[in-house]
Amino acid sequence: MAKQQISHEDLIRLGGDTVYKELEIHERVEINGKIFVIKDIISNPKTGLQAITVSLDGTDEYAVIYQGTQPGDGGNDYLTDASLLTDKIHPQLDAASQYYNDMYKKYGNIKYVGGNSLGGGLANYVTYKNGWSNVHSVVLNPAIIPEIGDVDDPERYTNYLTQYDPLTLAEKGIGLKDRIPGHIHDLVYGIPIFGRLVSNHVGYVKDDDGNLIGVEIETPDGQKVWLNLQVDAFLPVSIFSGNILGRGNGEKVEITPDILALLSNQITDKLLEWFRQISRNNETVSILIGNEKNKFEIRVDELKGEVEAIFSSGGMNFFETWANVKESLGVIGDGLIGGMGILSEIPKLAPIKIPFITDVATVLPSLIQLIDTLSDFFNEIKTKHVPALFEDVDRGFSDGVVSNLSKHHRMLEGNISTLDTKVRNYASQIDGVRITMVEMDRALAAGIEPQIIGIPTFTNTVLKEEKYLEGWKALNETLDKNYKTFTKNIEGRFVSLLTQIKDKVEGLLDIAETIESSLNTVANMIDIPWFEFDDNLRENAREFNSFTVRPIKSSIEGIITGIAAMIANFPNLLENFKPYVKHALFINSNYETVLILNEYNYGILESIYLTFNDMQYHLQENKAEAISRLGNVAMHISNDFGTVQYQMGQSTLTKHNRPKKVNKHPAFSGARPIAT
Amino acid sequence: MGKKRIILVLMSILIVIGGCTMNKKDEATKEEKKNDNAEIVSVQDYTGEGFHGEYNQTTDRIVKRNYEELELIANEYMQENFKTDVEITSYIPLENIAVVLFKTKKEPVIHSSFYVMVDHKDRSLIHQFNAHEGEVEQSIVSGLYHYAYEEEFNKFNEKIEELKDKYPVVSLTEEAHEKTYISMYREKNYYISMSSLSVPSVLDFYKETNEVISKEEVRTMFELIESSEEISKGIVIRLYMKEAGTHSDKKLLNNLIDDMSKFSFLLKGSYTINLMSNDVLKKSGHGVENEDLSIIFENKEEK
Repeated sequence: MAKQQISHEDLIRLGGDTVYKELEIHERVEINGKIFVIKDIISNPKTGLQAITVSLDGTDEYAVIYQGTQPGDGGNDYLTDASLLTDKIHPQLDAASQYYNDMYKKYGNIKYVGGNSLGGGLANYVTYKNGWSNVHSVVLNPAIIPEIGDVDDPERYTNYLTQYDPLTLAEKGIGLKDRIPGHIHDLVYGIPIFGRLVSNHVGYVKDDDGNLIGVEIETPDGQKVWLNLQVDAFLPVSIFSGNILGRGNGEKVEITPDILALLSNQITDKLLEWFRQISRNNETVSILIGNEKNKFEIRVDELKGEVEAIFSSGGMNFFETWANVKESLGVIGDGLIGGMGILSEIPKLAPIKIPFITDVATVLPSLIQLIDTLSDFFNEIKTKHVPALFEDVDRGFSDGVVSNLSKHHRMLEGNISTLDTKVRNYASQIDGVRITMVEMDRALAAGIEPQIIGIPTFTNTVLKEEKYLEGWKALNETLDKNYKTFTKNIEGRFVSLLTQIKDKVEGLLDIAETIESSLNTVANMIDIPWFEFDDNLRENAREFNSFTVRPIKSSIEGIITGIAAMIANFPNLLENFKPYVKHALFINSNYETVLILNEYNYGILESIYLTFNDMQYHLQENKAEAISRLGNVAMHISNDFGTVQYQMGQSTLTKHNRPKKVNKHPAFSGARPIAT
Repeated sequence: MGKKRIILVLMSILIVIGGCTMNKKDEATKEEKKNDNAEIVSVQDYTGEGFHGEYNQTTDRIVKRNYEELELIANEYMQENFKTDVEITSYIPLENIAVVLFKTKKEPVIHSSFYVMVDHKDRSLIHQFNAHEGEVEQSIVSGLYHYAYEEEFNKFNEKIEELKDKYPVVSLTEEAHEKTYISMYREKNYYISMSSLSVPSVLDFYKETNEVISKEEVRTMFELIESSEEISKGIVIRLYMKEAGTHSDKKLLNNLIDDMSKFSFLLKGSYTINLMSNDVLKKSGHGVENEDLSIIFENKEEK
């Protein structure tokens, strides 16, 4: 066994799960069967920074892991989030870098920093700031970092972005994806339904206190399906090199009997287990569609009701979001009022000129009123525009969508079973070659002519083609068309409201700037005879500027940038969230479960596809004919998996891009032990 | 009301500009929080309340009403995996889960925890035992380690008590200790961390044994392992500054380390004193500002 190393999967788990636990220093935690020791914990109420330093037990590998945004920390994280849009550096970013340096002094080389969301942004920023240390960041769905321009060494950043992460979709939607530094690695993970927004973002299904919990999907007719939504399980790892697949396979590995043994074990233990899961899910899908068959006339009416419900109450509510915005405005307002408070402590007759400052209390209410108007507009969207999303959908349903899907999934069942047999045969072929290799070594050592047995061959059973989905595709197109109309219909009013909000927020920025410069005057004033100042006044003014006003100012600037970007990219932003809305149209019906399972299966198939593709790469063109042949078989199987994945994608509502052939990409080295 | 909701981020400026939190406390909870604004409390007043997160009344009611099922979930899992019944000692009702603290009925008594999801809509518990990877196992092996060397650890603890008499330091209150005992082997003055992956034979032995486990048996097992390799374990003395408002004092920590290192103690491991400020964060039970240093026992070389 090679010496253990910290892997990308470990880092993703540390950043998405472990860092949110209640930990003690020197506590041992287990991750993917490895022991990590918590070396240090920081929780700074002032900057809001929360992070841990871990070491992989028995090694000198260290990592610093940052927490993401947490509720209930006095609004610090929200403000940091907003300030990321600017080129200003919020104190939490500097605190993160300071912490990294402290830990570096204490423990020496810290190989990685990690985190997700804001934590990922912090890790990327720390990596940028500390190029001297050659630290690497490995993050999941990171927040963008303040504008720093291009980084010189993109290979020091690995960003895993999951396909339905709302943050990533938003960042991409408003054109800020290039503010994520370094390499980006897209992961086919997640399910585009509103109920799964959180897990799509954090990569784990968790409660609010960071405990991992399972997902049980219960269909309307009582079927229960368990899904594993732990994102580190979706990181496709090369069996040969330990690298994360999808961006190149790295150096070819020498094929030994041990590697072949590992390969055949992995196929039987892991890949076939995944495949069984896909097969089970597909059976469930068939049953669900069958049960839905006779109901389609009443379906659409029911769905309209459900969709209305989803937009107005329950698990997700457009309108409540604005309460969150208001909460942040409250933090900003409190901060500015605090600044004015300090200024009011200046003795009346002191010869200090403080410019007139518009009262925050007059600006905030009108801003809040605008936000309420926006909420009302959402109400209008619900009653007026959402029903239009169903336009012509009734027709789609009666055009035999149900029988379409039903036939399609029966076809898929057949293909899955064909592939299952192929994969099983392949595992035993690998075993055959392994035994031959061992025998040959033994024979050569004993000086006898080795007997060559069984060069692997491949019977190409052709998979059935997809040809049943005409009605389904038409339905899908109708939904896309309706969504486009929907976007167009709401754009004008939305953008106009946002513009008004932006103007008001700019007013707040003016106030913040005046307060800042006035506090500066106070902080720098010299002693004036006959005027008695509170001794702490200058110090207070200085502190308040650094820790409150300046961060607030950069947050306001960030909000302005954010709104401006939203205004400029509104249709694009909405387009990115289309999968969520389309799925919402099927809420609480069996179709919803069907779509969830198909999306989930699609994600697993991606991993299997990449794994076989990697086998092909490492085995083909080997000097031993038998091994090369194994590579050829892997190629056929990988192509077949590609086909089945494509077919699976056809019966989802989202447009999936088949991955490009991976071998052409430059070598990519994730940190994983060479598993021998 | 009283239910945290997952909000739709699509339209949220906040999320667009880089946020992560998708939880929203509704107005009622926010009010409660404002009234109970002290997230920081002096260690002498810390009862463990607020540990792990914000108290949730609805969850509390649901758990109370389904207490028998909770016991069933705990017993089923622990009986199937570790051949022991358990007794629930307390639980922490949070937003949509409850963290459940329990102790085993099989001797020696092992403390650990798991969590159950709580369905607010159906007002029921989801029948599943959830635990962090290796956490219950860690509680077991570190508990067994303490059990095997109980006499040594008693002396170790007496020594810590002496330090507490001599210097202005205190430990968690009994109540806080009990309410925060979620993992590892813990006492008020110290805890032992050891992964079961380091001592698989000990864990297997525990799993296979129905009856009372004797000290000698486990001690022999640990000695056997340690005769060939050192078991990775962390033993941390956790103390807090006694005077209200005081920060962790480096000089005091050095004194504690000096005194402790003169103590004759032969059990291998990595020993640390973590000296925390008097003010603690309710959520973690940690000081707002802390210092730690390792102890090197002077007698270490003798063995």
